[in-house]
Amino acid sequence: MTASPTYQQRRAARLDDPSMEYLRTPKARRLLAAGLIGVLVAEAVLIGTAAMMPVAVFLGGMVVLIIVMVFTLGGLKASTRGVEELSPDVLDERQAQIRGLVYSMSYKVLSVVFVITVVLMLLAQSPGWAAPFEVMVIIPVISWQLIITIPTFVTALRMKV
Amino acid sequence: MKKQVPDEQPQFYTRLPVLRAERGMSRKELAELAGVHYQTIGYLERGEYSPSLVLALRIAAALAVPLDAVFSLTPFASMADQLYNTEGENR
Repeated sequence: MTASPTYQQRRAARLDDPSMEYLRTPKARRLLAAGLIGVLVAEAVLIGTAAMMPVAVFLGGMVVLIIVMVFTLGGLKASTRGVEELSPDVLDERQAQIRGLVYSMSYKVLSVVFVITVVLMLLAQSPGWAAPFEVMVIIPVISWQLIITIPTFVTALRMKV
Repeated sequence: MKKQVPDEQPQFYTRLPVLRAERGMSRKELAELAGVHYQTIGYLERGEYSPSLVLALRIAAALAVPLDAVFSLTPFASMADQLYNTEGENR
């Protein structure tokens, strides 16, 4: 009897779909990465201007941005064949080696993003700035989304996958 | 970050493309036999990835040749040279 594929095996097969080959060029990866950064910037702008618009418009805008983000991030992961997110059990030795390189590099980038986030949060609370509430929301929300996508950015922009 | 591509001097030499072509095997077929992604075969053929001993042995077994017929630390003589020299010696 053949064992049914695990979740990781199914995910690996989906991310390695040959029909996504057009996304696996350096140019497509750069475009997708720029698109994802664009979504994060748009999200920050939307949160920053939330007070100036009706709640329904804000919520609608967020839903659209989240949908665009899901597709962009999905495209970016397909462009890297998901080596940064898949378990080493479903990767071969070369892919597992790349995964290790991605995580060591992401760790350094993440440390920088974390320090910037903490400094911005401290500055926003300092009496000299008196940052509005929106800024206090934007900084952690965008930083968190950036942090969870760092390995994908590193893989797409720096690795030969 | 360290370079993923080897320095100008290759770390190893391989006859993988010739042996694979000789057997009419696609990269995908060889990859399935060796238990790796087909892309990895391409990186090996271009000398851009050094295989582990286990993978090198699996590839040699899949091609039914000894390990040193596939990978070497020194450049391989061309197949044509080897064939004709051998024939010349036999005459």
